[in-house]
Amino acid sequence: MDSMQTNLADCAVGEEIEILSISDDFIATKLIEMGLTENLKTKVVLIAPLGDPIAIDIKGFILSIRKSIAKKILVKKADQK
Amino acid sequence: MKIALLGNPNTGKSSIFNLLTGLRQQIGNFPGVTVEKKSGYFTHNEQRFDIVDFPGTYSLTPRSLDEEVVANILGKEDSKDFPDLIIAVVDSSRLENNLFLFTQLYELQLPTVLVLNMWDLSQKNGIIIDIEALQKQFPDTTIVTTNARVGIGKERILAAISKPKTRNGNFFIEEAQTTGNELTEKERRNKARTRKDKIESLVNLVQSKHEKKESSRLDKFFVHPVTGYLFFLTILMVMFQFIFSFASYPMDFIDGAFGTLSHWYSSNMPEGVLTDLISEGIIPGIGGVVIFVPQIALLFFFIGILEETGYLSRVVFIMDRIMRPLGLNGKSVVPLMSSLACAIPGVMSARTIGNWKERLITILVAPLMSCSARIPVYTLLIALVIPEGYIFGFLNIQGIVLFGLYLMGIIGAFVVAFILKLIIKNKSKGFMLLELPSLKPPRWGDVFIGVLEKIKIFLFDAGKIIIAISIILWFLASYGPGEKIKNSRFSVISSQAYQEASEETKADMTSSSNLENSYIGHLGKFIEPAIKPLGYDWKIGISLLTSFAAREVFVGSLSTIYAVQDEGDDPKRLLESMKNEKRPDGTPTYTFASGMSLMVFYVFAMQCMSTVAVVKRETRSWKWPLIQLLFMGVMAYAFSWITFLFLR
Repeated sequence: MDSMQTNLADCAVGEEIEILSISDDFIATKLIEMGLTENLKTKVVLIAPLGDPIAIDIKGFILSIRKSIAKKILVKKADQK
Repeated sequence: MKIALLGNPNTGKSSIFNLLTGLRQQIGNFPGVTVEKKSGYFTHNEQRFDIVDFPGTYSLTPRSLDEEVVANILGKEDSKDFPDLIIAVVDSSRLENNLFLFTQLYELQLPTVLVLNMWDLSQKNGIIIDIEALQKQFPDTTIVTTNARVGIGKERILAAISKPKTRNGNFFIEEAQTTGNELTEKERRNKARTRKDKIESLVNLVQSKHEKKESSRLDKFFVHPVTGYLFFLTILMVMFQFIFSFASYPMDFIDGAFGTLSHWYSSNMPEGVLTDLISEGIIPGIGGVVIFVPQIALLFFFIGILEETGYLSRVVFIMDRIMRPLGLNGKSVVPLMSSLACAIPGVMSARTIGNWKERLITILVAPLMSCSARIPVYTLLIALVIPEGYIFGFLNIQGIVLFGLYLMGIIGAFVVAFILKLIIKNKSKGFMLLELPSLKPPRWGDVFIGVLEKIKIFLFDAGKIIIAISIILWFLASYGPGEKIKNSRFSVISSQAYQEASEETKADMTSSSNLENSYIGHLGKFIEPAIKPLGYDWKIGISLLTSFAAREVFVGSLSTIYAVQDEGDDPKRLLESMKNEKRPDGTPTYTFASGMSLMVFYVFAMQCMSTVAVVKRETRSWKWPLIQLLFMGVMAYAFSWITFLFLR
């Protein structure tokens, strides 16, 4: 199966993903400061009951991101086996 | 020597602070802003160190209010808190993430101590950090490892700050040297990316493996659509129960103790104005402050545990989406819930909310939640105007009314929050990125210090205002214009009813006459035309005024006015005389309409000077408590008026 491009808001819990790009410079700076950069390989760890916010792993800590921001983060889903 | 303690949130920075200072700490605010400043001092080898615990931040880019404070102070060498040395705390398990802030601090050219905290935990997780290699990358800093949770590493930090290394001026990334004032967002992003990349390759040299976070079973339980909310509700219920019921024992004790003290003082001191001031103004005033301490202590004990364990951030995670449309934060749930017991600890607990606008809205609407001080007012009036009986054979009518009053307050709070969301401008550009720290057992020392801090803030900051207002209220209720009090007292004493009354009734009659002729009594009569549309007379007017001290004073004030001081808590005689109370035209004063109107008034009105004082303390200005006083007053007046109009 080919790898799929989508935004972070559309990922499910446990999905292995790679961050491709962040569309907003202001948000991107903040995310980089917290460790979320392009090329980061990560995983969706938790999703809140109403589908918002969602939490991902950033090298040892869990970051919760509101859906509105997650929509601006383009990711590639890893190949499924 | 001045030390700045800096680090990302959840690195155990506060534990380090507590470890170094113990109880020698102080809470204030940074000049001009509402950001809390924790400072303290300690001595080592006869040298005094003053240390400021800065808010946890991820970088020196000023985005939120917290970050602005840090950036401003570290950017200005002449600022009062500009440090001689920086202690930077990082979580050893998250070295790569935490180094972002540290490399920025390193570039400030100040001596630094890099504290690798939670060292044991990273070791346990198999993360191997080559400290020598790390030292080579940052030759001018002193690296120490600690495990502050169990108190390990204090000596190492002390040794490091006693002999700080000086900086030689190289920058971590070249771009840092060209700090042009206004960078575009794009440039900022690129700069951050360069720094991040360099850190990444550096960490690859010094660290063997990264920790990967998986969702634990506990986390899945905490954020599960069913168990997550159920568990949170249970926690809230437990907290609420404790604050509501168990606080009443120490509160009764404090109440009794101050009553005894006041009585003892007035009967052992020479009669006079000064004795009255102390026994009736100052002692009850101080008692009125101290009485809140049990509730504050209990609430912050629980909140401390919730915060320390990391559970509170899970609450925010599951509540965020629900509270957001109201302009509130997931964390607003705790302050609002606690306000059902008492708004004072509730307002203070809004501190956990990072976003200023969301915190302000939470503070402004919290007193609309019906607190326990309203209960005596509600129960008295319900017993008076609501008939006993059942609807459908099992729903107690009085119970329904009580429930309705609570509901009215809650809905009122949400509606006001929504309106305020549209009105208040957001100061911080921040958008919520929340860290969910790993779940861990609480460190009791830190919880304990947190509780003490809150009590101290309340007693010394809000306490002053509360005592001042209660002295003013006492004065207004004890003294009157001219000789009126004296004259009317004379006419009461010479009346035939007085001559025939028992000793107790005699005392009741004189105090009733005193209150009626005091300044407050006159004020009550003065405002009668204004409160007449709500269905109240001047006697209720007086009680409304005196109960600004605290809502439950309403009951006591009415007892004084109607000259029926009850022994104990049972207001039987008061109810009796309220039932018989007539207007000048002969109709009863307390009807279904006027009683309901009065209850609605107490749902909305800010009848609590202590809350005003705490809001002043927490928002650092008189502006917000006065706005709050005003809009709650308008709501109370408007809704009581409507209630009376429709039910009459």
